[in-house]
Amino acid sequence: MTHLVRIIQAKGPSREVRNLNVATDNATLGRGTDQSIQIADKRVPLEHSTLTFKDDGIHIRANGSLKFAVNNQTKGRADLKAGDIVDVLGHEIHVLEEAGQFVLEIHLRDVEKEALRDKFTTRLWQLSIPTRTFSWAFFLLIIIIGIVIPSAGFFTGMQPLRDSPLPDDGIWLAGELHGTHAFMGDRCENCHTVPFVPAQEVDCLNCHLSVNHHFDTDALGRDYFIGDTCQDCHREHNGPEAITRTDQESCTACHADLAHAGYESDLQAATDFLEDHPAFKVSMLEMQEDQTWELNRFDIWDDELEEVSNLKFPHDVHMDPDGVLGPEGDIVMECMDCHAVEKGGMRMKTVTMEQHCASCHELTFDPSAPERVVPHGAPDDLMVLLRGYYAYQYFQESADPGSTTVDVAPEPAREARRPGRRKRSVSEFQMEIPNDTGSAEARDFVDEQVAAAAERMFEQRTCVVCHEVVEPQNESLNWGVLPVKLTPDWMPLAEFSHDSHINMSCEGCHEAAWSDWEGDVLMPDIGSCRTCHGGEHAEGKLQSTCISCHEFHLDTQGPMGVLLAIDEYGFLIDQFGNYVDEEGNILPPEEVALIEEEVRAIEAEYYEDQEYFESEYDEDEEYDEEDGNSEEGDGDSGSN
Amino acid sequence: MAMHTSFLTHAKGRYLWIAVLVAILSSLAFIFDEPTEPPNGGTPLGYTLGTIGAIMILWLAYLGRRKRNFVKGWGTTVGWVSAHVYLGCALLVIATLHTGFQFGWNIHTLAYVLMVCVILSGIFGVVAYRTYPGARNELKKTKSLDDIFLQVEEVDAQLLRMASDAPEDIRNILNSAIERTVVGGGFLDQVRARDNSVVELNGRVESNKQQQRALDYLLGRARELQGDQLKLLHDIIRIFNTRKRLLSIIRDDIRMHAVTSVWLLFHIPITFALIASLIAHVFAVFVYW
Repeated sequence: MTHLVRIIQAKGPSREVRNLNVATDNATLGRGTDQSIQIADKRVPLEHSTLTFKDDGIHIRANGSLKFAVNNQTKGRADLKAGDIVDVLGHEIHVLEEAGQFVLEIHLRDVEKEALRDKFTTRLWQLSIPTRTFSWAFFLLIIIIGIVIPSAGFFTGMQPLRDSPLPDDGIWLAGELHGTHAFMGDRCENCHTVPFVPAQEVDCLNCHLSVNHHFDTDALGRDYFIGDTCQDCHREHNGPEAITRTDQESCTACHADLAHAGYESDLQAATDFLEDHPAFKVSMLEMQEDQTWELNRFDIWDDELEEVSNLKFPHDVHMDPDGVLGPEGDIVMECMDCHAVEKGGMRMKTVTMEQHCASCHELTFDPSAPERVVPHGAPDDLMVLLRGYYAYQYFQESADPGSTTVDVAPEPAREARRPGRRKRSVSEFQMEIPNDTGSAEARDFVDEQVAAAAERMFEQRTCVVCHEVVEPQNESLNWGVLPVKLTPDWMPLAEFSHDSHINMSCEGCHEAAWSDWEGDVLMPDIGSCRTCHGGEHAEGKLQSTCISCHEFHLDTQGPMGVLLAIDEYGFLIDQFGNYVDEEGNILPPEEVALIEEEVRAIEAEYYEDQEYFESEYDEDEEYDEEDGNSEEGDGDSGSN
Repeated sequence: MAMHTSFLTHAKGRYLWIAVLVAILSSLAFIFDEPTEPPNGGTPLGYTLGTIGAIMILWLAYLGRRKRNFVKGWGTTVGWVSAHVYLGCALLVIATLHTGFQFGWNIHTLAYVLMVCVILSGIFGVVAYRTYPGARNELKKTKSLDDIFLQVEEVDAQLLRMASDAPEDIRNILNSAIERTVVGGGFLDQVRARDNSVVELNGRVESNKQQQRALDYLLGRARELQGDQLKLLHDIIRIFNTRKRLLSIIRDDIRMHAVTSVWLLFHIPITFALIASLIAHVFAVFVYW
């Protein structure tokens, strides 16, 4: 059966009436949406009560301990009749009887209706996200992690921080270290010795003691120019590959005009390898009158330029593509047969008679014994050897007349060497054989044979082929041989790697095949290099800067670093024991005198102490000894 | 629309051209610079770009604050915003060149990354401001969100009135659907327009996303009813559909409004972090000079 429920909502002066048909005799009342009669008021429980329609009235029963008021009397259950008024939290339920039917009229309390929007959170700002707090928290967090904690390492020592999980100065690392410095790991203080002060020259030289100066610093002053440091050319923290400046500007700043830059030098200006670079010069050995050798610089274009090494060696004969006659027929020679690159690829190995010439140029001396050769050596040694050979031959022939050969060859002369001593010719060790030993016949035989052999060798077929045979310097010999010395390094001021040029032919730079005269200097000129190499900005050529060929730290100059040490008295000394200041400059004599006086005072005091200790512990000898030893060891090992 | 394009086209895009010019000039300087070491923040150009970049960061941060102050002074608010947006974009170029493309796990790269985050969140904000206010107006047909909510309230009341004459199950489900409709909510609910509405059906609480569950139920009932009841139900369904559409508009509006303001929740705290890391960056550069 359907029951009518009329819901009346007061809205200001007017009222809204809503009719509800409840199709059950057991209606429920509450806030819940599943209730037969819904009262949309937050304070009303979801399920408040049950109303049972009966023929003679309505029974109302509140759920659980809930109560309501019937005609102003609080009850939990009640039987309602027409005219009763039930109050549920201010909402009035009037029981009416209309046309024999019970009708409920619910007068809803005038609840101030909440706007629908206010039920919901529709804007982000309503969430009260603490942006400002976050902002300052982030700010402080980064300041603390980025500055405060790592900086604490300056006071507590950085290493404990690095060993802990706390942030350390590693987060300040501006870039990866160069490969050669990678071993230092995270020890920033190795180079950055003072905070907020750029790394100094001395910080580098602490390790790089032996690195050489670029020029004679005594002649030109210690500094390069004001403000110059290692960092001008060597910049760290650019990754494992790059640490050395390679641009031309670093050199041409001075070398464009050395005099203007304040350096007096014979060096010519250079700004670009292709555009502006002096022609090559060579450093060539020249024999002086006293037969010593001197290295001098020559212009490679000089028409008068002639290498006088005192060796007769026409390259063209040896480089003949058809071959050159050797002991076993024609041999086609290659440059590499004599000129081998040293390990490292820069210089050439020295050409020696024994290694490179002797296989063809056999030093025979007697046509009747063509297989006999003498070793390559000094003329004096040769004469001794020849005399020995022919004396033995005479001896053999006397013992066995008719024999023209010698069975046993004499021991070859060789240079006697002892470690640490000058080389001495074997001839010095030859036994003096008294002149009157042996017959005059024998002497005549030997002298005659030796003279003939020596003449053949010096004047006709052996020595003279390659050597300049001249008037003797002493009278014991009829011939002299000018010393031979090949220039070992023609261009010592440049670094040229033969290994890097391995794909090129030798003739490309050295015109040896066409050289028919030993005086030819076969070094290439700058044009030869410029075929392929250009300056730093060259187009269509290999871009080469100054340090592609030239070194900055020159072997010929002294070390930049000064090994600073502290002596046993606490004074700074360099590696030679000189008293120096913190820059490594040797102190003037007056200051040295003061230091020495101080040292003497310290020593005097020390010895007084020694005597005092000795007298003190005289009675207990064993203890005294022990103590004395440890005292010496700890106190001043230097004085022992 | 005029308002939203104005800061981008302010003064005929004066700051756009300044920003483009700054970016081109610094790029050219970088291209033609021949540093004596690999490009990095420590070359003369690196220091120059770094100094300009640091000043710009502080100035832009101040600008971000300044443009909120409607105080008398030189320049208009629109001008400040225009400068802030364009020069902020130019900063991306300047700072990137300053790094010389050297990055690592350190405070320096942290500063760069934070700066990029700030700029990207700012660009996001520009795009949001360009897009959403117009889209929201389009959506709501120039009505305000409050108006739409009032419309929903009216529809709700109408539905409840109609429900009085409807069978109890329909009345219950309408009551429940209206009562347990949810819009907005927490951060993600707003930003992603989540619909957490539920409806109670046969004693079980079921999801009522897009009011679909309730609508399905009503449509199901339409096959069973006849006569006046069916006619009433048809009217209810028609109005319930209107309600569904209005709720959808409300959710879209909430989402777009949230997205329009969400970038600022990142932009400002990261700016603070950026300034801190900038200070730490400069400190770190000079402590181990």
